[in-house]
Amino acid sequence: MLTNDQYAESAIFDALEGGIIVLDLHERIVNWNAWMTSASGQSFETVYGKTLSEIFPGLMFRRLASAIKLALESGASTGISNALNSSPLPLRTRSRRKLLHDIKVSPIGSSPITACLVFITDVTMATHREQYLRDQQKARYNAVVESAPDVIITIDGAGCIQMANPAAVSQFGYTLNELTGKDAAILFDERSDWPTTWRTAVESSTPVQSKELIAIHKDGSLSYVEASASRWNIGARALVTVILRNITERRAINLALRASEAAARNSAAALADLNQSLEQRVEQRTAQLMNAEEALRQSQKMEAIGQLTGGIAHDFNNLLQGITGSLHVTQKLIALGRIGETDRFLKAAIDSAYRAASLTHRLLAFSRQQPIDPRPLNVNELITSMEELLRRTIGETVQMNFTAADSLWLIRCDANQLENAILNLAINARDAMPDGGTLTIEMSNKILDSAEAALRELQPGEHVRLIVKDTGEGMPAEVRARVFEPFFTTKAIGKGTGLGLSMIYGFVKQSNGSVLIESEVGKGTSIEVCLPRYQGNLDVEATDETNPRESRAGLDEVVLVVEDEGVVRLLVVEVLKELGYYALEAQNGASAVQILESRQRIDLLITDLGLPDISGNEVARIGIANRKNLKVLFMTGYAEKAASNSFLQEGMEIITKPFPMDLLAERIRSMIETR
Amino acid sequence: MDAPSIGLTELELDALTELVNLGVSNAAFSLREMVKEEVILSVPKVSLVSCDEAISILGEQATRRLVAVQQNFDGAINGRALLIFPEVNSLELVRAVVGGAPSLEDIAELEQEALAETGNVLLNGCLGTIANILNRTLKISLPEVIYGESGDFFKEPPPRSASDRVLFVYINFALRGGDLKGYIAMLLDIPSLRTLQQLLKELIENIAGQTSISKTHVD
Amino acid sequence: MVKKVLIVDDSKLARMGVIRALKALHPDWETEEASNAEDAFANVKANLPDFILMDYNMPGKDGITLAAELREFDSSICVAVISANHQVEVVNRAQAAGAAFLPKPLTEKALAGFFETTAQQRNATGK
Repeated sequence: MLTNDQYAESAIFDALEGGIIVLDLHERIVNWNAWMTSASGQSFETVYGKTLSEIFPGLMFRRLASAIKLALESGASTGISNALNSSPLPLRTRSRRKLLHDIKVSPIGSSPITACLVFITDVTMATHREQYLRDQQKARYNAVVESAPDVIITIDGAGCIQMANPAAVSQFGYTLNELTGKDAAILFDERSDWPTTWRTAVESSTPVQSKELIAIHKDGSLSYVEASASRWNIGARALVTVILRNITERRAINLALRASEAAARNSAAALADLNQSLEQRVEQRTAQLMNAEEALRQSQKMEAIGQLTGGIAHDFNNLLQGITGSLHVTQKLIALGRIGETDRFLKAAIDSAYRAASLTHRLLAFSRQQPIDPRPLNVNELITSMEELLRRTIGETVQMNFTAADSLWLIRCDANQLENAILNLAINARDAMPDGGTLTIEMSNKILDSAEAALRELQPGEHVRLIVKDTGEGMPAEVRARVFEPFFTTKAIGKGTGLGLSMIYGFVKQSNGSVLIESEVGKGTSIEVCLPRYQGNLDVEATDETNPRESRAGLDEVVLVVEDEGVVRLLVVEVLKELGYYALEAQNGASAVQILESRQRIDLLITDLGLPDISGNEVARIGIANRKNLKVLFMTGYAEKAASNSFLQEGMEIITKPFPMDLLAERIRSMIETR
Repeated sequence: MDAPSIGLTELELDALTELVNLGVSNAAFSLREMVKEEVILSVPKVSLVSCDEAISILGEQATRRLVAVQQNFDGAINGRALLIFPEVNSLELVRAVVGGAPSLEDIAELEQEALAETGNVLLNGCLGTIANILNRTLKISLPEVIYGESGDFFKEPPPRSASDRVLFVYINFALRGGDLKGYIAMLLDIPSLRTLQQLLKELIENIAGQTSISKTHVD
Repeated sequence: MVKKVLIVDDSKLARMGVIRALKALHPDWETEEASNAEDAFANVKANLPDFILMDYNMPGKDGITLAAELREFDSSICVAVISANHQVEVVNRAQAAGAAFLPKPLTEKALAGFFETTAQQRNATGK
């Protein structure tokens, strides 16, 4: 008979939703509840007095066995989870499915321990639910991470790899097992700063992006990777997921590029090939452009000169005809003693000669052998004076329109350069309209607001705007974009843009102005040149024809003329006399210096730059050293020397041979009169 | 000054170290059953320190976040045993115990269970061996996993005062080639520590063959 | 015949335990003690013991490594490694080093078995 207490105990056991097995000191079953009977299919009566290994023969549940032993011998309790031990006992649910279970083994009684309790809990439902959730999560995860071509690794707070995707295994050459638990630092070469990257990622909430690192594979080989890393958490545990993109190939291309860049520095063809294959490399293209620019500029210059020659040769021949013809006639008249009649023909010859000189001047300027001589300038007048040249240049199929604003502001720049610029733009426009069209040249005053100024990299304020517009084929966006990079040059454009915008750009920039291009395929091209307004008046000598030369002639002023070429010296002295100045002559530098170091009054020094003994420049320097306010007018036939006018200080000017006597007279007068 | 504290003689400490050594060796055997791979153990270093010292030793870890598996024991001696290691190490332990190549999510999910079971095996091995060799019964509870900083593990009694002693064991075991450095801390109140000392004396006398003082303290 | 036995263990108590078991079997045998590998080596060179009983888990050089080195020095020495760590890998390593493996705590029975086995092996090899 069971006692009330024992009965109650047994009833409670049977009511429990879990298995109870009680083992005595000899590990024999002394209790076994109803749940156990159901789960094992064996009744208490069958199992009573037997050991667990007798009930479940052939089972290897060492952990359970040692847990029981430990409980009985040492009083220790043990938990054995399904998750880690995959349900050691062969138990079934009521629907006869495999019953997943956790086991807890604890001693019963203390000092002494009398028995051992094995308590079994059903975790089938919970495990299945967890498994389902996990599978679902894994499916999503696999879709992204497992198939990614980039290495994806997750690292724990100690820097150890906790997860690595198949790409990591294949790229680094380690097995998944080898990677897992390793310090991620083994994947990176010492030269790359992995520790900092890692620390940044783990310590800050902002992800690390595009950090270039050198990865080291198991076999010791290296690759270049671009790393991005961001932190996330499981519970309180911080983890960092790192994505490594292999950029070895990209880098190799870059390196090869740099190497071939160096090798091909002087080979335009090689550079062109390189350029074609690696378009995006701006630096590379920069190098190419820099190298090719000079050659290109020269060849384009020649091309342009060739284009001009056709038009000009005819004029030049006519002029020569006029000169030689007039001289022949004069010669005959002198021979006949009809000297009084020669005047008309000599004047004709002189006119023709000056016109010829003006033409060569233009050609020289065009080949940039022209000194830069910025002066106040009215663009309207300049263009008007160019009209004929322009018409001849662009030909008959192209219609030309001029639009000029009233009272256009003055600008200050080299008139020849501006002429060239306009001429070049006109030639470009003509080339863009092989089947004819309209060329429009517009001039206007323009006040740039700050946005407009910023667009042009100029200061806001008053500017003169010159627009040269064609109705030609226009440029596609990519060509237009390249026109402006990296030096705002059109050098690489090719067809239809014969002469370099870079020259124009350089000149305009030098004059503190800007160049803008607007173009679209089929809609023509419009090039805008903006130059800052000049706050002042036109130089007296430049255009002031109304000022009679006799008005301010005084015999007080003394001019020293230094020129080794006797004829030129004679002419200059003649002009000076005509103007009413007193002229001193020196035929070389040394004698000029003698005069300059004397106490002789000298108001103006006119000197050739290329003297046989010492340079005109040196003469001027000595002169100024002795006479602070001495003005200097240089004459030169070597235009390229004058082209860089940087040596010109205040009170110095330059005039290029050949020059019309009138121009010389005007320059002398204006220099002496300006105080 | 500290409240009455107990010092162990050199031989008593030697005996205690040997007991712990036997304990963790047994535990290593049990762990091997779990991870199916050799578990390599360092020689445990045993010291008897105050609670405050224990907190500061643990506080010197590179990472402040620690994880501990705790089991209480009572019987001839009462106290708590804790297996403590840096939290960052725990994933490694879990991975070793779970085996195969589980996903990070699986590991994070199994972490608690794996920690509990590993700690359980290790602490049972230690405590059980000590109890067996000292010929005493200890009732040892099921394990519990605690996360926190070093001070958090020593708040609950015992010990009842800061001057109570902590039996501090430093062990280093390697699983799957990865090192796991951890501590076993046994927190004992003063009466339990006195009992332990007495039991150690008996053990030494037994082994040394000086049977004259034996058995009288057994109860 | 009186034999010389060297006991190597970092724990004094453990050495005491081994000596007690040994004295119970062979009260007349001579015993020497060493607490680490260096002392053990010095003792072997000086005293040429017949048997060495050593702990596995010691600070510095472990018992199996030491056993292998000692056997290399003198292959006639019989060595037993004693440990509670009876993982199969440890037992195998001990045997590969030419040492017997005895579980800790050491029992008289296990120790007697070790002496018996070595005696049989010597006879078998004709010594």
